[in-house]
Amino acid sequence: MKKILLAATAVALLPLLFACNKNNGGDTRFEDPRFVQYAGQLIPCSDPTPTKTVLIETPENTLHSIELTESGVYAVGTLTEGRLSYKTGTYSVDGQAYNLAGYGTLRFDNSSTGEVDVLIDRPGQEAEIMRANFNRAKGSDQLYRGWTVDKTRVTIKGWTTASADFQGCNFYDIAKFIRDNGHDVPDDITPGMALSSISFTGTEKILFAYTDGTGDAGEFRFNGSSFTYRWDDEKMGFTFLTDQATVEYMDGKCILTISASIQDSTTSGSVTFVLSPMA
Amino acid sequence: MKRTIILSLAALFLSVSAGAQVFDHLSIGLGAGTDGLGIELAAPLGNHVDVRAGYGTAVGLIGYTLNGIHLPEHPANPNSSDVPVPMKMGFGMNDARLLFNIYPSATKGFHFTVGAYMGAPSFIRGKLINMPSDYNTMGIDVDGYLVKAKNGVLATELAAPGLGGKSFAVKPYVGIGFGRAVDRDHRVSFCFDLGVQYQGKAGLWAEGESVTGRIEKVQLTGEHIKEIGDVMDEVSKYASFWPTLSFRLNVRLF
Repeated sequence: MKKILLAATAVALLPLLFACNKNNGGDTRFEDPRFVQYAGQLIPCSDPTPTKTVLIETPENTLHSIELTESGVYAVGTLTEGRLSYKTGTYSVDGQAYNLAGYGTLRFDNSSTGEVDVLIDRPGQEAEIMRANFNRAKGSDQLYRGWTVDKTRVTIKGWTTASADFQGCNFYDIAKFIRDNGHDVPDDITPGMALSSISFTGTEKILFAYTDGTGDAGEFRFNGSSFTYRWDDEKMGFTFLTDQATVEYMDGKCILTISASIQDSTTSGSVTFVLSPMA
Repeated sequence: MKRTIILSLAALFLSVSAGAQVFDHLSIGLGAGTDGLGIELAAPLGNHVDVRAGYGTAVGLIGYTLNGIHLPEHPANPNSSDVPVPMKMGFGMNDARLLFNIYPSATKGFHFTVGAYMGAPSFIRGKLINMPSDYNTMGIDVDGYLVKAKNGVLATELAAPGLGGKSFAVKPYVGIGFGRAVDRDHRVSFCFDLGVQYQGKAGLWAEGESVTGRIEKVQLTGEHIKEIGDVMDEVSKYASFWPTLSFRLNVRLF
């Protein structure tokens, strides 16, 4: 009887041996962003057609490009006295009408890549037509969407390899942290440079949108897990970020790591963004 | 923890099929020693072998302060000066044991013991106290995991896997002893055991946090902080074998 009781107890507790199931993060997949079929890039044609076309140009500035990302973030690039700058915000779509919050409405045939006439209607201004090349985004990777920044981890090699975590991403705070720890970072980063989103588009554009409505944009080349990028204007971006980056997916997040180094210094490290997908 | 309990009971269960005079008696023992405070069940496998299965812990017992560790005051600063950081240490073992007493004589208490201790790899807990304030907000990067202090204290543990792995150690044991784990003639008996556990190469471990918030134990080495590597090289010379001296009071249940 005693032997039977002991045997029964051992057998009953056997499942506990296999109950420890460590969650290793699994395979992360995201739903398609909501504007994947509307996303693309508008580049004004350099030579206007002779019929009803007006270039959006004043002596002070020239429209350079309009980026329309898969997650509803837009960036309007303007050349002012040779310096390129971006205005960013969110947009919505109603058929062939794009409503860019804080900018205006664009109407054009978005059915395919090619030359289009874009009707631009801005508040307080007369509607104008612009001839432009529409490059429709090819959505072939789940990286191509907007991402919000949950956390930023800055790793630098000092006395030892040390890291610090920041909520969101404020490049001013990051530069200050690096500088306060004995590394020579230029102090030209303004306090307002906090990221509201990072976007990668199927037209191979990378876009940093900041909370003050400005942005930095560039081109990137992606090979599945790593990419290189180049800002549209050499004055854009941050001196401590290199052009090398890696992407991986873990625990429902996108982990974007950009290598960091300080020019004319042995300082090296990385800036890692923990990103959540935008719809 | 679950696996150690099951393995202990499985050992008792296996002895059901061992033959005559098996599980005719059962005793419970309470012990203390360098393997911690423990509780065991024991049963005879014939006249010459007793099987013992139990659990012991020594977390927090015995205190010692290790001096001589220096850490950079500002870990991210290449020109940082270093500051002394004492480590308060105490026993940290927490494991199950499955042991076999082998008695040359059917009636005498002298025995040899073979078996294994299984469970948490840690055997000493160490707290680095008075950590510089930088370590509360930033930390040491260990393979992508951030090791930080909490309120100026960085909790670490000296751990060794024996023949097991990072999360579950299996430390073989051999020794000698006096006294029977299951005394057929007396209800209460007393045992003394002296032996050694093989632990393997010891390392210093701490909890680190990944970028996504996952917590894992990571190993601190000289690659991260040179002086830790120097201290561990010294510790490793002596920690591969853990001396085990224990005293145990057994009560025969039936």
